[in-house]
Amino acid sequence: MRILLAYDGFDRSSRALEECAELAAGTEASVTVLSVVPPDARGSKSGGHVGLRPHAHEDVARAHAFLRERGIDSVMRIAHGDPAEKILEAALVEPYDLIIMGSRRFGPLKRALLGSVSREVIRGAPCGVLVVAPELRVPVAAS
Amino acid sequence: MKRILVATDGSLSAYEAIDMALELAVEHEAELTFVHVLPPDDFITGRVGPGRPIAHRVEMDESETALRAAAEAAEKAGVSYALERISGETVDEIVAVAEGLEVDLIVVGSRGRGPLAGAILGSVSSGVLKKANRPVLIVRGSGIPAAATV
Repeated sequence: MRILLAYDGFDRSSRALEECAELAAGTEASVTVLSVVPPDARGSKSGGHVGLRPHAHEDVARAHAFLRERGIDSVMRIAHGDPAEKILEAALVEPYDLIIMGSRRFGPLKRALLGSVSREVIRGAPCGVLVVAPELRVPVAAS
Repeated sequence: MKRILVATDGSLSAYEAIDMALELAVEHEAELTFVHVLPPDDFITGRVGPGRPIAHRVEMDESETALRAAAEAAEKAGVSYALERISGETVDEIVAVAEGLEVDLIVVGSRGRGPLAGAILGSVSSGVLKKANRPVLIVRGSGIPAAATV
């Protein structure tokens, strides 16, 4: 299985990284770790991507090391531009079986489960998408 | 995105998938179809053999509960929906319904009631991923009931 992991180094995607490792470990899966630096990225701590180039490199390197420690074949990649666009572009250039990503909520919709990036990727993806959403909760009736 | 198919087996994972599918349906003003797949039908042998129908009945109850919960959630969200119950091989039936309805997206929970309930991808989600020629969204939540965390 060829997996594209969209990773930005934040909590929301660290769980996606863990899930990705668990899925890939002990299989023939290969993982491409992609971090996208948005054009408006600054080094600010307040929301947004801590998008200075060195940070993106560190993020991806950390994910790369995490996967390698677990014996998972992985490639790291950094792109600059609109995150959803770059993730979709990467998925179109090379064939993947699955895109794994977190479900960061951007924008004013507090109730929303999916962020704008994951929405766009789901809409345009040429392959399956696994959204890891730690904040998802199930109705009490279900349990 | 006009038509979304959500597979449910009544598991926690399926409810997470339903929740996310509802959100997408609201956004796209799409219609949802909930499908529950029963195991291959042994109704006839169950009828003929002594004491067998009970097992089937239990499955029907589970199916009813799963679909009713999905329907209630859709009504609450104001999303138009349809319900499907089919008997057969789970993955094949989900893919067949998706093809038949020409859905724009198939949403499944990452793991269901199968023997490997702890695995990231259950047999259904990985099977649908492999066989469907349509976009697939696999939802991996935390499986924590709302009451436990709020």
